[in-house]
Amino acid sequence: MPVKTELKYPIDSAVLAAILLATILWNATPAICFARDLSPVYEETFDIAAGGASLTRASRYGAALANPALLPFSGSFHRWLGSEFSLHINRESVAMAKTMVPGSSTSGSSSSDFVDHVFESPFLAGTQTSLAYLNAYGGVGFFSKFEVDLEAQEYGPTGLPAIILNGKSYTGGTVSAAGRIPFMPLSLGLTAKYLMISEPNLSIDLADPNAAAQFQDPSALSSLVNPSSGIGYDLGALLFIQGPKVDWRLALKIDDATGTSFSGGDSVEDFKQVVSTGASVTFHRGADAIHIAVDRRDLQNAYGTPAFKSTRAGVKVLLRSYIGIAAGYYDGYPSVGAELDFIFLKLGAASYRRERTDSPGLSPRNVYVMNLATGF
Amino acid sequence: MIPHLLVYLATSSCGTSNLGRCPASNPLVACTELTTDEKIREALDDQDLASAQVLLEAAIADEPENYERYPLLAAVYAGLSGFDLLAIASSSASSGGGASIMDSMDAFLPTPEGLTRTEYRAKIDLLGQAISTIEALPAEFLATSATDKFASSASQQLGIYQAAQASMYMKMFTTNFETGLPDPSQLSDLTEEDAAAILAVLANAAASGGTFAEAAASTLATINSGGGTDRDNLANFLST
Repeated sequence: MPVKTELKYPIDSAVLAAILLATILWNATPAICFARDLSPVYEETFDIAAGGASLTRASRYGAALANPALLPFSGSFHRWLGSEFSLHINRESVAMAKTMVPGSSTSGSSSSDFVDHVFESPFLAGTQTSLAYLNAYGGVGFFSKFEVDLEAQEYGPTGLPAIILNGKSYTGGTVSAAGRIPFMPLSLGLTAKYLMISEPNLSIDLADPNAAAQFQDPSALSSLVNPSSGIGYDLGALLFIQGPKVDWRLALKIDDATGTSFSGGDSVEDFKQVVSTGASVTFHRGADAIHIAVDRRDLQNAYGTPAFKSTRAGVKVLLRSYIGIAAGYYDGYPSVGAELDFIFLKLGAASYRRERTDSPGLSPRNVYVMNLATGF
Repeated sequence: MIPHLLVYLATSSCGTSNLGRCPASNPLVACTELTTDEKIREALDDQDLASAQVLLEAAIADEPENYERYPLLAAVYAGLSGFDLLAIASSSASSGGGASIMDSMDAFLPTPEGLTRTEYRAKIDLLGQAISTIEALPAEFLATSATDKFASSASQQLGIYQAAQASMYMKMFTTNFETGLPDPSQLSDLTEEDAAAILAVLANAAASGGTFAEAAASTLATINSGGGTDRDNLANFLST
């Protein structure tokens, strides 16, 4: 987590801060309709802890998907070579998950125990892995993300008790290229991504034997994870004004430029082009830094995303390049997390709330994330 | 200024509340009002059936052709009657094999114990409202073989509620309301009108093709095998 000071542009800090933040925050428009998750397809744990405001600063491989224009400002040619694994689970299911681990003292819980648990509280679990190499001019990476969310409703969508299953399976590879514009505090970046995506979403009426029976057929289950594939492009720009003690960053990001179309597999909605902007200020001294960021996603309201989900804000505190502490707002809820950097081994954890719907407080998930990264 | 802004953001929406929740908890993020259907979903998830009933009745009155809300309102009426939908789901829902409809339904129905006849009758009437709500759907929303999940569910619900109402009706004349125990002396209150109403509901349940249709048909056949009046046949069945 190095902080570089090679550029120096004298500027009135308070005035710039006011302009940047006001531009983003007051641009908030109330919009109430359907929207998809505006997070990148791959998001780092530490960036989640900082409210997901990652357009102006992102960790490791997350930078390639958060904003490829971040790569030239990493402070050195080499940025990241390594792999990562993270585990996501909702707070209410931690105890249940322990019983599902083979060899644990409480393992062997029956499927009825699991169903009982789902009727008491939702079950969310997922994993995310990546292998990547990034330098100041680009890089390549591969990632895989799988998540399942189970919720039982006594009064389901059709009135009868139902189990609602929402899944996400994202696998892909990325190639990034980035560079600084000569004589300007500006960088541009491009990430091309090949995605294989499956998003099963279904409701099973428990009192309807016909509905339950159709999922006893293995082919019906396998069809739930039949991925669609497509190629998309993310473009990013970063204005980086650096001072002796205070840095300013202004980012512009275009996710899925001109849209990303998917073909094959189950029908997955194409990704629309999303334009986002972010601003941040970093106070630094030596190897310590406080990074305060705000992102405003989906400026064109392509997905009709309500303001509480499209506004991301957070603070990252970096101490001696070995310890990071972060807090922020993610989907309108507080988030928090920390990361320890042991040179070749990095451990991270975060806690955040995610709102699954477009309506604040209607269907939140309290998510714990644990992260292990090996590399340098 | 910036740290002050973020501290303000944080302190005004800590805990479990969302920044975007109406009424506005923070002027920096526009608050988001729940839609009618989201309010209904919130009430259902909170098991606040009284609120869900009010919201659904108003929503159906405003948009009578939004048929997806009808099965939800029917389920709310059934829930208010004390009918345990979740128990139906967690059982194997197998009621075949000629079992009596009362045996099949017993675990899911409210017991009359501690209630007055009027109170218990009100619960039966709520199930009647559930049945009426489903029956108000157009025919294409009630096809048992329909692939549309709402139509299939509505059809299932209709059969379940009809079987439940018939069973509750019969319990009125077999159970002591003070002790909750079987009491054949209650049969003296059974009238010809009651018997006709019970048999009509049973016949509808048997014809529904739903989960409990077989049990309803079996029960109806046993009752009608008596050869007497509806009242006598039903009384004979209930006394055994």
